[in-house]
Amino acid sequence: MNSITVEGVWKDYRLGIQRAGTQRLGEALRQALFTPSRRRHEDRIWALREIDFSVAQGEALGVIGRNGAGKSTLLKILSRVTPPTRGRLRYRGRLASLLEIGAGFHGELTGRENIYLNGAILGMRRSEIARDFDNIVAFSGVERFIDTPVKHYSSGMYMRLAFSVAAHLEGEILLVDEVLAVGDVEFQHKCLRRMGAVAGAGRTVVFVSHDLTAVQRLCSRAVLLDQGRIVCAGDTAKVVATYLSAGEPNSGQAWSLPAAPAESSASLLRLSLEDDDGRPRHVFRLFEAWTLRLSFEVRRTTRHFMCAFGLISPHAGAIATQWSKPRDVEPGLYEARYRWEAPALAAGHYVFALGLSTYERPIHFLEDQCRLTVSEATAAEDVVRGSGSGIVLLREDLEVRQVADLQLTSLSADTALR
Amino acid sequence: MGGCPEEINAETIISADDRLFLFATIREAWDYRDLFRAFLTRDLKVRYRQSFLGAAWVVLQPLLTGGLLAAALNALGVLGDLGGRGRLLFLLAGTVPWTSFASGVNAATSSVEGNAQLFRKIYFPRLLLPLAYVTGTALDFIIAVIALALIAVALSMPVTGMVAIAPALMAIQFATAAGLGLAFAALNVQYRDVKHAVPFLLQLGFLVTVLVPFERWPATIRALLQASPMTAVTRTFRGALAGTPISLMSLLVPAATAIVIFLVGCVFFEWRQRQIADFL
Repeated sequence: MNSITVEGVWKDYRLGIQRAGTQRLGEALRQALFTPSRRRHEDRIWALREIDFSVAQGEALGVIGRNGAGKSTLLKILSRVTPPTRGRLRYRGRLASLLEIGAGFHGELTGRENIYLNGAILGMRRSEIARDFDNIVAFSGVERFIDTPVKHYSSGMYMRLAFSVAAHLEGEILLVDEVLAVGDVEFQHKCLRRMGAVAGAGRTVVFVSHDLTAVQRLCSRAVLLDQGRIVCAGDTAKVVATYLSAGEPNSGQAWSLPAAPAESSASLLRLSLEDDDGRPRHVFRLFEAWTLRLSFEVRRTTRHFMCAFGLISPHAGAIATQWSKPRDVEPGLYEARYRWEAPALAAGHYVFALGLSTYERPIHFLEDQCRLTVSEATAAEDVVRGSGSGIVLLREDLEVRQVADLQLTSLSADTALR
Repeated sequence: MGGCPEEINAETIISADDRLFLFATIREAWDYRDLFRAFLTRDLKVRYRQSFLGAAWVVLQPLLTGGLLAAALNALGVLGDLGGRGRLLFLLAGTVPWTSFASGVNAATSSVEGNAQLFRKIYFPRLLLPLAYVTGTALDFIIAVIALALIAVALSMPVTGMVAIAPALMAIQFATAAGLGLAFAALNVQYRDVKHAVPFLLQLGFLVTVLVPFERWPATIRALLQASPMTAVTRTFRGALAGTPISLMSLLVPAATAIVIFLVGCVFFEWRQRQIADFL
């Protein structure tokens, strides 16, 4: 039985609305008077086009795609925040959505009060919250501060409390947007386990994320969105592979990165990977050295500034991270370089996480914008040593030599027993 | 959203051409009644937290406004034909309901924009949020009326009639504030002019209903004002404090107006609410 059925859903955004946020009355009047109604509908863009899919009961479906592909719009429609422009969707049972954690949290209210408020906003009955209250508090690990206003919480505590309420949502369908990217690693794992348990318990999950590792771990099926269309659907591994190979033009070029909001003090600009001849490439051979060049602009004098990149495997999660030394920076254009002499990475696709920060607070953070492919085609001198599992490639031979005669070993064992 | 087994397989259909079903809206709002309560509690808890006088402001605001006006108008000799106690109570009987009415309309108007993040990310019956804000100010009204009654007792003015009629007046006032607030809130999502215009409209209303005695208006305007819910509320309070018998008949037309305003506000808000997330 299908838990969710989406039938021919389209969603448009009129550009005027999206850009200005709101109209002034004068503009609306002028438009109504002087623009023919036919023309008025022309500056619209389709955020979603002809979306059709269904999710079986108890199934976990992953939704992946680049920024702006329509993932969030799809979730908003599924969660009823915004109506479709065309088409319709049907679902069975209670639908709980986690597009945002900590919705409605108020700084002046205590942790306890916020749990009740947030739970109610997420559609829980007061009695359900009361029943789960102790579990929620225990899951969050903020027992000692439960009667303290949350404005005094650290951001980590705040997020943990918020996620804990969300993690105890009931409902036959759970919609989840990248909320897992909160808190420390240990808490993230706890959240992932919890999500896995939810999916295992016969509830339907729709999970939207950039975290391909998490999608693969949780979802058996996935859909790939690109420019508002479903371009690929089916087995998660296959869809992830399509996604990863799609963003990989043969002629290596620098990736232009989406700029940070205007009020940010710095913004990432471009990332390129180059071989030792200085040619930009996206595909490298096993053990072939590459240099990462990350350019960014600093818009305002920033103290204790750091630049960082991380390398992520869609299958195994974070592999490595490197930070620059903290320093104070003046406005201007900057470039960060990192050369990896002999990357011991197994063949496959990898994605970068990039970030700028001040005093360990993020200024601009991007994930999943750029990919590195390590090809199995090897340089002549390399010998591929089977297709063992793992992402770290070991270059050195595993040497085997005989250390003793079998006769001798069994004899000495006998002696030892006596 | 109850956990009852029969609801588990209930199918929800959301379609691009959904029409307005008031019955479904009411049913859903009822399902979310705990959320209404949560919004209301948040509003009440947050409003006066970290303020020294706390909820005393509910009483102080109308009393100070009334007192100041009484002093000012006294100096100007505008209220010449009323006695000393009469002047003060005349103004208090106007400022007490008007203060909670105006803060109800204001709070509801800005409620959607003020909770934009919530509207953009989470679905819930949208109607509940503005209604919770208006309900919060209706509770202010109860406190302020009790204070007014105590003052009347202290000044040995008749108080029984006022206390007896207060619930009816509160209902009229609540319906009016909620209806206007809902309509303004929905309009304000698209046209931010509304939030700038509303305080001005409320000042105009204050002038018309509270400041200028009903009897001073020309007959044509009086005929119009007779249908106005807030004029009725103010006049009834004043009459009760002056000891004149209350005529329930005179409340019929204003009550009907209030109900119409409430229904129109609800329907208009519901008609617009689906688009809220796209405009915020």
